[in-house]
Amino acid sequence: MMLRRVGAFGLGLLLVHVLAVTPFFLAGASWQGLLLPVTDTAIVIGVALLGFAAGWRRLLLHCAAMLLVLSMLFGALAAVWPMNYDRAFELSDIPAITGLPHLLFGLEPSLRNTLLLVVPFVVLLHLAAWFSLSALIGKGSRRSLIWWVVVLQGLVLFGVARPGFWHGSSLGGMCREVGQSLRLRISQEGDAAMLTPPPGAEEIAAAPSDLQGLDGADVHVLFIESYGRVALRQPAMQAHMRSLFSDLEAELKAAGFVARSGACYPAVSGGCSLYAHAQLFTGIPVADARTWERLMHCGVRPLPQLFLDAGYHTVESMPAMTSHWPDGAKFFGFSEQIIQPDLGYDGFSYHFGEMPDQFALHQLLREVIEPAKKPLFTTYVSVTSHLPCRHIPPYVADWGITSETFRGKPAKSHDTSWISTRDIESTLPAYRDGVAYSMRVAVGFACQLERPSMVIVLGDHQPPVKSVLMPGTVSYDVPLHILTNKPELLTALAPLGLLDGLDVPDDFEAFDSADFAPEFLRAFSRP
Amino acid sequence: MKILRATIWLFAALPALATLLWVSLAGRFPEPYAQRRALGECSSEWDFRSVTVFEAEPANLLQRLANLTLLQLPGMSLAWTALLNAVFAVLLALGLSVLVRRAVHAVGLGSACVFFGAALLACSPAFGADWLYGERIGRFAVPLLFVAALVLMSSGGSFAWRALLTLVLVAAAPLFHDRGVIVFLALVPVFLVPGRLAWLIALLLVGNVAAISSFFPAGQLCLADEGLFGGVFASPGAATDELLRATGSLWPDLFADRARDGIALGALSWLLPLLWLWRVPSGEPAAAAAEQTGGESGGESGDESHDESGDESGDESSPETSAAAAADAPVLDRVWWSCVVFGLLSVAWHYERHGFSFLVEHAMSPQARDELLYGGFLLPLGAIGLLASRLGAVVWPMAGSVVMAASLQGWDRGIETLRVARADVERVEATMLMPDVLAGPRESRDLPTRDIGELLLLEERGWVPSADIAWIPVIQAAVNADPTPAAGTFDGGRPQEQIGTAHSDLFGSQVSFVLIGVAGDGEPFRAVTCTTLEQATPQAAATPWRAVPVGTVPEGIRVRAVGIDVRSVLGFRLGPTYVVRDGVLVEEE
Repeated sequence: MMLRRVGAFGLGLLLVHVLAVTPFFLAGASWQGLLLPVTDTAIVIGVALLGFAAGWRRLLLHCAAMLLVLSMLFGALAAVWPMNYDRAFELSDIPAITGLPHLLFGLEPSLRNTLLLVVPFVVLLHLAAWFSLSALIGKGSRRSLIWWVVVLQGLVLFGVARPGFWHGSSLGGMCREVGQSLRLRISQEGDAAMLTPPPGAEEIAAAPSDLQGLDGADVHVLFIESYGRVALRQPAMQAHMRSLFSDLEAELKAAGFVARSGACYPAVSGGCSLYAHAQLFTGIPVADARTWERLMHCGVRPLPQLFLDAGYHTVESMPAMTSHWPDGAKFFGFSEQIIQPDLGYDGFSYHFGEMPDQFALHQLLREVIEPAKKPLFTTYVSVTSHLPCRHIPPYVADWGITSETFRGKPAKSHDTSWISTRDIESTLPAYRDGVAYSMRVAVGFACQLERPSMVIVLGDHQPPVKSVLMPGTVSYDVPLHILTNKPELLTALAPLGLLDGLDVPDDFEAFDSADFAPEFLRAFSRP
Repeated sequence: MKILRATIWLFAALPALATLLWVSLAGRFPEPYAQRRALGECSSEWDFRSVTVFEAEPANLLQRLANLTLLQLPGMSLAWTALLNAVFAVLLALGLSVLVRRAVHAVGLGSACVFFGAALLACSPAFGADWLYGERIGRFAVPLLFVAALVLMSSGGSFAWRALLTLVLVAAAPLFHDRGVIVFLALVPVFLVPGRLAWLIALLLVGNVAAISSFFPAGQLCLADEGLFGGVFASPGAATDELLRATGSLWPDLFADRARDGIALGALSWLLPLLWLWRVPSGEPAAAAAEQTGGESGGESGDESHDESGDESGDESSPETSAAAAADAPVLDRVWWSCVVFGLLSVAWHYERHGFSFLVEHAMSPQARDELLYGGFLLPLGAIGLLASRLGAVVWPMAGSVVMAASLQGWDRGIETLRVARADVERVEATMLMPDVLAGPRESRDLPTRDIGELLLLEERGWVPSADIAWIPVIQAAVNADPTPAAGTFDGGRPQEQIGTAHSDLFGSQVSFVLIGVAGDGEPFRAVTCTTLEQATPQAAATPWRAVPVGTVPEGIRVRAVGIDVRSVLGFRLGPTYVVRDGVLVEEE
């Protein structure tokens, strides 16, 4: 009997500790560190003890279990988020969790799918926490309660004398985050219009914007997903990319295009592509959801909007999007939005966005560019280089693409998944092939253009695996290439300091991607 | 009879009323930002929108809110916010007197006496700068909340409600000042009531969570390299000596010129927990007796009530009162234990947070430590209470008289401490209000705020005095007036450096900065430099000043010094006129 009680106690303690320490494990705590107690453990045990002492055993035991689950979930997100995005998790990032079904199982990123995925997991966690705490506290005899109180308080005081004895509190972090969000809501008095404009809004507002200097040339902006400068710096990738650039430069030359390249840095890394797009188009650094919210309501006129005002037809092609986003189109100034269902892809299902980049860009060429009567401003957000880069599609050199072209198997498949992205052995070749494919397609797309055009190809952000590829990398730089069949246009962009060709030397000093839009406007507009 | 009673109460209220005098000297600028950071205090914010922004500091939200809310009243200025410090101190004295009166069942003159003694402890001028900055409200709030909790827990009525209110106070304490984190631990004794384990757990839970939450933004607890435990392990002898001295300093000092009595009292204080072995006789039989006779019991039975108004008609020797006193004994014993724990934890917390060498490292006077430990007088009070519980109520008048006498003596030294603190406060004001043409732009001086923008904001809102003062007529009038010996001296010096002293006074007008005026033969004097006074020191009413003009004063030039009182915008000529002859300043004949 005694042995059973001791066993139940030990198992309960172990489970509670495992649940509470998981965020610290994910954050990379040492094995020794994982043995240290967690502040939240003391809090939830305290709540459970209070329930026993006060006679509200069931109610407070459930409260304690709920707190433990919250601690674990928020702590895990807070631990993993910065690894991928180089910034702290914030409550306004929660909607991004709806992307989980798509990332993990290729399902539609809807609220329903997210709930189907998350709710059973949370219920399981809650039950585990509930049973563990029940086993830990036992029947709550007066003597055991007193022992618990004395031991816990003693450990807390010991932690005062020996800082570092306790792990921090994920619940505390969550409360702080909730407080900050509430403060933001209170300060704007529930009205988004009360938000203060983010810094930097004045520069693009002051820039001239008639875009007459382009002389009616089309402008295409191609965001290559996760194409970070690490791709040009990682030793094993460097040679591969340089060799690719050499081939692509020859292709460009044959098509009458010239290229200049450099690097810029968005305020995000590892993800949140939308913020990188917004930064490039508005000239305002967007590092987090709060800035994005302020940006949406500050009245800034993004680059596509200015193109629209200048008489351009503005089109956004996003093959990963499964539903239209009218607010986004309105904010950025796109008069046409092409998303996954509009593209009518029916081939092999690729790891992200369903289709290969070449298919989507081919559609853009055939459906938008070829029949265009007005000058065009288009934006394309690539999908193939999105991690985990599991399948690399075949590249169709002559762009003779039909609905049958991609029905077959991919040209190459890698044994990668979201779970294995921290493993360089599998991630490196997958990422290399994904980026190379997207770059090849981008250059191929440019070579298909016959109208006077400028194609701006750039990475949206460094990949979430940059520290896996090159440990210690802190850079946010992404390569930027400008390809054009009107070389005189490049002269006006001289202030950006771009270099001839596609390669970006290691010593090129990147500029803030927020500087691009004002510089572009000054280059091609009359003051 | 009523007049006599009113007179007695008026006399008893004198120490409490004196706090109005102390706070009337309050600084008109905020406490220097750098000083607050060095002391580990939470910085001030001047806007409700940024009131929850904490930069590596404890989240003393209520302290900020208290200040900021007061400043919203029409006509308010920073100097006025210190009034709340006085109010809190008087409330604290009232709370203490309630507790002591319950112990001694004092009536009439006794009540007045008890309040007088409590106010002597809580309203002492020895807490120097604590009276002069409204931002130090947190230091008063913590002992006040603690004593309020004790009053609640020793009162009658529903235990649940009293305990719930106490938990609210416990949660509020760390939001006023970092020392608030010890309140819940100090309250453990009053929660050690049979059958109230759930409330004890709730106290610990709320207390720990509030403490951790308030320190979450600070990142770390200890401001020094080593805290209490590190210091004790690194240098046991010196640390113990320092610890005992600091603990002893919480007691009123009988022999001011000797340190050993302080060390002895400190050692005795740390031995007080041994009294736990000497249990107070259970009050339950007495309580039962009291209930039978219609008296009061003050404890855990839950429905007791104290009739404060009954004090007037009470009789110390009546059987009801004796029974009530016996019934109150265990409750009040727990209260005194709490007081002792609060005092000891205050010292322990201080060293854990600031380390053993922070005064030296930050060039602070020992007074800074005493100011940080405001409320430490609960330790001697608790010690007397514990002894009285065991030896009988006779201990109160005996020990109380000694404490009162020593406290009165301490007031004399406290006045000197307050004078020095006032001089420091005025130096900050002088630094900000000196004329720009002589002292340079304000942003180049030691600002009391984070930056000049913050200072300008305070000026714009009228919370600090404007620097736009017409100094020229004041200076001209003073430089041509006769010397005012009471204001200070000009002791000559060299052409490169002039020296003198300024008279420092607690209440009177006093010089805060000094100007040097020079003139050729037959020419009017023109000011060439100005300087603030050096740091004032206790027991020295004359504070030195040292002025360094740009370049050297040429031969044959006459030199005069003018002292300026920034608060009354008055100038006083200091000492005689000097002339530069053969490279030295000689007094003009």
